[in-house]
Amino acid sequence: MLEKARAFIALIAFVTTIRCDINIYTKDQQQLDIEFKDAESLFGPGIPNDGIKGYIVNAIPEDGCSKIKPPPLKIGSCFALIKRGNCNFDVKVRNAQNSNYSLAIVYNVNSSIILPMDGSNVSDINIPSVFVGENTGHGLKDYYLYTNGFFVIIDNNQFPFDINLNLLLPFAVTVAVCFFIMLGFMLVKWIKDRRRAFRHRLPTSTLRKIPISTFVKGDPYDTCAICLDDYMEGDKLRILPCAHAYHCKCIDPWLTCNRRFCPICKRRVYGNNEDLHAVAYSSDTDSDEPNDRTPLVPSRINNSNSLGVGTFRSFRGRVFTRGRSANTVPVHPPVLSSINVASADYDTASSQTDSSDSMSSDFQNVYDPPVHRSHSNSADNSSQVIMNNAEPSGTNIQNHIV
Amino acid sequence: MMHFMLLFSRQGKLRLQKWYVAHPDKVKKKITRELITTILARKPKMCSFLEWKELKIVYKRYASLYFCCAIEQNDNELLTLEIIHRYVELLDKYFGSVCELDIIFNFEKAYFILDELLLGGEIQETSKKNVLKAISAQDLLQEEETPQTFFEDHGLG
Repeated sequence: MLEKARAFIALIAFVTTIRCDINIYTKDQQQLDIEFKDAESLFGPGIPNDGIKGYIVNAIPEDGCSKIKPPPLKIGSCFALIKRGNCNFDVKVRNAQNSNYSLAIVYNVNSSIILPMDGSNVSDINIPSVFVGENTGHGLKDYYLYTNGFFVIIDNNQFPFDINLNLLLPFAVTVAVCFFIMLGFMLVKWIKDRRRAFRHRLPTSTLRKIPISTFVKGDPYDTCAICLDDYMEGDKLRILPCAHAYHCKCIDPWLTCNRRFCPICKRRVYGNNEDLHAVAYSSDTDSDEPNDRTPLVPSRINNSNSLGVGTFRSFRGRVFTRGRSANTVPVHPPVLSSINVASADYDTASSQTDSSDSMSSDFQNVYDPPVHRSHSNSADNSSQVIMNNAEPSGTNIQNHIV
Repeated sequence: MMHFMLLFSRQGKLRLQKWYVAHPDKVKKKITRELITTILARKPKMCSFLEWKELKIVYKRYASLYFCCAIEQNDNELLTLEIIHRYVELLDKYFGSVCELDIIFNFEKAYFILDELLLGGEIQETSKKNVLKAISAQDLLQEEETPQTFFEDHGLG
């Protein structure tokens, strides 16, 4: 039973062999010359963690089965180099111990396999011992004896790989720094993306201000561009400032979760009294780089009538007719306060009269005096929106001709 | 005498071109391309005038648009800069806080205004008021000549 247990322990020990290193140093330069692998024996005290230093002395007799000649050296400890065979390991180590050696190195014969040594009667052994392969043993015997000016440090190398801590620490620091830099970049990017996404979306509060109309027969809209369904009577339609209509349930997620522009004409969607300036300049680019809607001449501060907000967007949907209508009509539509501009898009009937009230005075000098335009009572809201494009010029021409 | 005037965007797209000397189309294209790349590569703080072949180039950036004129050696650069600015002021008055899109969509108006201001490469009308009057008269004429139907009025024609 005991034998079995021992064999098992030996097997475990073999599998998880505690490898030690024999580090050879030159005596005068204190430099590491070479390293050998060895295995600690299963009996006797272990090798201390900080290693054990000494000089290698070839045992006489070589196999160490009888009394070994004491070490010739009086200074420091000596290690006995003993050949395997002829007697048990514990006998060899005991002989070395009796001759005042502080460690026994046993080398294999005809094999380079390194095994942990075991013994049967080992209670009195109090020096550590290691086992090395044949090549190592011969190498030690031939080149690294104390007579050649070498000393050895046998240390307890617990690591399966030889990892140099001096290099490991900078490496770990570098990796950590890289990791944190990457983390920082990702965080910044994430925040930026989030802010940009928020800026591109329409806030729910603004969405509520965009008019909803219930579809009745005769409305100019027929198909929702998103779900491609024809509008049914009673459908709730969201009319965007560009006069495009969609189902509420179709367009709302688009505006609030994706982008705040009309999917058909790509015009940005503004709330009734949203600060057009702020939204306009935070539009597509993060920077304040001028885009094609930036006024070429910055708004003049001393001229209170000029509009700081780009004119173009106050003319939604009237781009093509703008040059003509803007000139034949003395009223110059861009000269509105930004709130008026915004409301003009929704409630055109009232805003037209508004605009003539708040019109620019310097344009009156250049052009004819303004003509008050009364509003025709059009059939429905939507056609007013469309009519609004051309209507001012129409009425005005008549005034000019007559 | 001004040889030509170019308007191009920051992206290098040509928006307006007016030539006062005759060149084959190929040469025009080559000159345009060359000038656009040269001017776009210049830093904001750099000088608005540059020597180019036997001509002098005067350019100025307004928001997203570059206004670029080529003049002869004995012409005055500052005067040219003043002409450019006058043109921009005219556009601004006419369109009301003009932006690049206005010029893109109403390029013919921009050409008309330029023709009122410059003739054959020389300034011909320095009064903004007169130019605008002429343009509005022209617009009026255009309106009278093309009577609009109800449908056209509503953008359906």
